[in-house]
Amino acid sequence: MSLNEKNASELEFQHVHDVYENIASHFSETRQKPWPNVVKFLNKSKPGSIVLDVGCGNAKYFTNTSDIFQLGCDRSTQLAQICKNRNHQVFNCDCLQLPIRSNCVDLCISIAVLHHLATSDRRLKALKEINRVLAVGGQALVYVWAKEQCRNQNLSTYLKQSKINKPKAVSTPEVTKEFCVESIDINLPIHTNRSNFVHNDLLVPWKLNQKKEQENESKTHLRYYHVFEESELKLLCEQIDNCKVIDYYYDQGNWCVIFEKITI
Amino acid sequence: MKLLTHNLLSSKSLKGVKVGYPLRIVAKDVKISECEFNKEFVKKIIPKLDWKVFVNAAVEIGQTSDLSDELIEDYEDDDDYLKKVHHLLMEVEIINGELICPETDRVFPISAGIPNLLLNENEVS
Repeated sequence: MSLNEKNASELEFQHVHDVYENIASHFSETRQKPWPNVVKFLNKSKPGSIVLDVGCGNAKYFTNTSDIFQLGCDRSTQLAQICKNRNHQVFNCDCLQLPIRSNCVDLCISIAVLHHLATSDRRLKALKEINRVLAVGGQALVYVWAKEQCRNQNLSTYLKQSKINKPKAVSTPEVTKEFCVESIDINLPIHTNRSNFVHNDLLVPWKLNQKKEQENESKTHLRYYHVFEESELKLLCEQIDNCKVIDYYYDQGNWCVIFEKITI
Repeated sequence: MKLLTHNLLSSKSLKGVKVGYPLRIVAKDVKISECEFNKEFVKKIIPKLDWKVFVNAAVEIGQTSDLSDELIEDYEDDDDYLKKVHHLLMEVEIINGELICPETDRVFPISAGIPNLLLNENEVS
């Protein structure tokens, strides 16, 4: 998919930012359990480390330690409010413009954020911003959703949660429904939840649990995703001059990179 | 927003802004909430601060302290000094107010303790 900056930003506004504002509390209820490999990365911190979470959501990676300084940012004001209510330091910004001075962050994580950016240029820009704010020797861990949800015969957690996929192999939906994003005049496929990805750019439905009697039908929001091919995230990082890829791996349906800033 | 957070924030992504640091603070509502003094943390965080910006920010929001513009040399062994730094850095919180870009005067509101540094598309460089 190829979009100009204006249309990419419009798509993200309608099908990412606006959706998170609407689903924030339900989203937060479903996002409580930290992923072990992210926690392992965060355990690299030392006393006095400055740790930044870009797209921190409901602050699930914040801990109560006083050894380090944890700072989160999110595009969603509702999610930031949830973090603040949990007594964490948080601010609102877009990951394309981090309002942080350069070279001061020791560890940075950005989990399940970059796949919401609608062009390759924007995904690269977000990675460059993370690298800019890192101190030299500082490291970042980035997770994005993989197109490949079944690897080495193992289904990802995402697919395992499907009633249909248990225990047989993954089926591909026969007919792809499309949704027209009218403001930018583009059709995007609607993903069938808990199935393998067929497309790289798509809309994933989020069904809101409506309380009884509030509304008769449950409301579905469509979130935009770009799912990543095997080397895609690594290749983006390699385009950044002053950073070095330390590790690149597949974890439960995500491509994950750890990179380090090597010079100012 | 704690003063440690303020010490890291910048408005450099605004169109036409060169440094965007430090952001001026207008504090309308300041809250003090006690938190655990972690000596090791304070010792290690001090060299990462822009010290002058920190001291000036404390004055700007009306927190009296006898910390001077220059960091003392032997702060690592001075518990009273480290506790003062801890208090200003970690316990003073701006609940409502504004952050202001030093070069363009663009105002970023702070409400319920959360600074909003989102930019409009036409403001981005």
